[in-house]
Amino acid sequence: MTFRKFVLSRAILGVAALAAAGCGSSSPSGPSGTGSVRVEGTVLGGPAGVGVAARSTGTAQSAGAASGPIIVTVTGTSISVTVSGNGTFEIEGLPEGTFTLVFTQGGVILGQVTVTNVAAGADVQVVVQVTGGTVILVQLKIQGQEKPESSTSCLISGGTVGQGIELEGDVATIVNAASFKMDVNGNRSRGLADVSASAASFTCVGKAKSDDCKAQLQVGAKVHVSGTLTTCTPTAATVVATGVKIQK
Amino acid sequence: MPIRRAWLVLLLTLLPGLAGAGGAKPGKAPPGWHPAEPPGPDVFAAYSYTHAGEASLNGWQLTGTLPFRKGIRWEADLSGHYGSFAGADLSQLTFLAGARYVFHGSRLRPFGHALLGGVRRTTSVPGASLSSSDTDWGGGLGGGVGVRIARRWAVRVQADLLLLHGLGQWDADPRLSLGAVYRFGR
Repeated sequence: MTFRKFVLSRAILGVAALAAAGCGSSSPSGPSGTGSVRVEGTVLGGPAGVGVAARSTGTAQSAGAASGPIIVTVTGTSISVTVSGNGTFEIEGLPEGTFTLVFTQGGVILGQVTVTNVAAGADVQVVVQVTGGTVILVQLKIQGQEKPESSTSCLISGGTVGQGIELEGDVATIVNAASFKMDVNGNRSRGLADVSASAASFTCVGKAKSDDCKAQLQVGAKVHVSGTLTTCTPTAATVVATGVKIQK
Repeated sequence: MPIRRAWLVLLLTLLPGLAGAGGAKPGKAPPGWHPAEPPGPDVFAAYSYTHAGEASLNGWQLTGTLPFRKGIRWEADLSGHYGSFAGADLSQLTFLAGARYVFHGSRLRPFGHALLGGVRRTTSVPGASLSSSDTDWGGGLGGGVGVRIARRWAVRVQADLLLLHGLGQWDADPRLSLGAVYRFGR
């Protein structure tokens, strides 16, 4: 074998090895659990200081300046994965029922997301934003989960945790700039629903621009909310909104 | 922004070499080059796939090379990949430059290259007014092989390992591309 052929063969082998190494490098690290629930997640970065925690499922904790990769651990298990450079992560083998994802960076807890009522074999998709040292739940979807036969376990009639939902009603209480309580129209809800709108787009009926539309969100305003039902118990429900239309 | 300044420095460093390579000896083929094949610059346009983090992304790749000396060529590499993961839309634009070594054969043209540059990633959530973008360092190692199908045209398959920084860590993401090459020159 001539030197040139030797170099050529080594180069081709090297490229193949590099590609093979890359295929395996982005797999989640850490041991898996024994359950059958799979979680796919995406972490978005954001400007510092504008974060508002999603109520009930996103528990914000103040964190100082942290650096290094973001680690997601599952409480009560030994499962831990590193969020990749483009913000994606995947966890397999989670137990059914309820589990909590804890996001840390440089040993500092950024926040956590608790997912409830997950059936065996379900696929959970979660999108969070890490901003200002907190974790905001942006979107939660649970797929491969049958609707419960009885809806009495959920405050909102017909609501299923992890699924999309459309609600109409009046704003009952403004909690802060990014969340409010809503009195749902008709007999669909037995109480006020919490709406987290930190990542929602606001539109106002009859207005061409939505720049100052958010300012019209006042107690008594009629709203149409579209988003995901993230938690629901007989006494409380939380919707993470992707869109809020203010009708009056 | 530091990465933009670094890009400018890299470009200014490469420009004299690129200019020299383009006009030094027009029409003169390097040793081992097939006489029917133009030895000048070439462009590569391709379908491209990458596995970025946990997401499978599809997109395009555009590459241009200029001869420098013997089998060495300067290279500029631009690629865009798009897809969705966990309900979020992801896009990734890589802009890299570096050097390539081409092994000359009669019909097959294997090569290896090393690239340095950056990556711009954007993540958005459909239906929500929320997106985030960041620009960071990146690089690539890899190679491929071209098969000449006409005097100026070739088909090329390429495999790279993209080394991209983001969210406090380095990722090693494979990228595979398949496309056509057009060669300039007399």
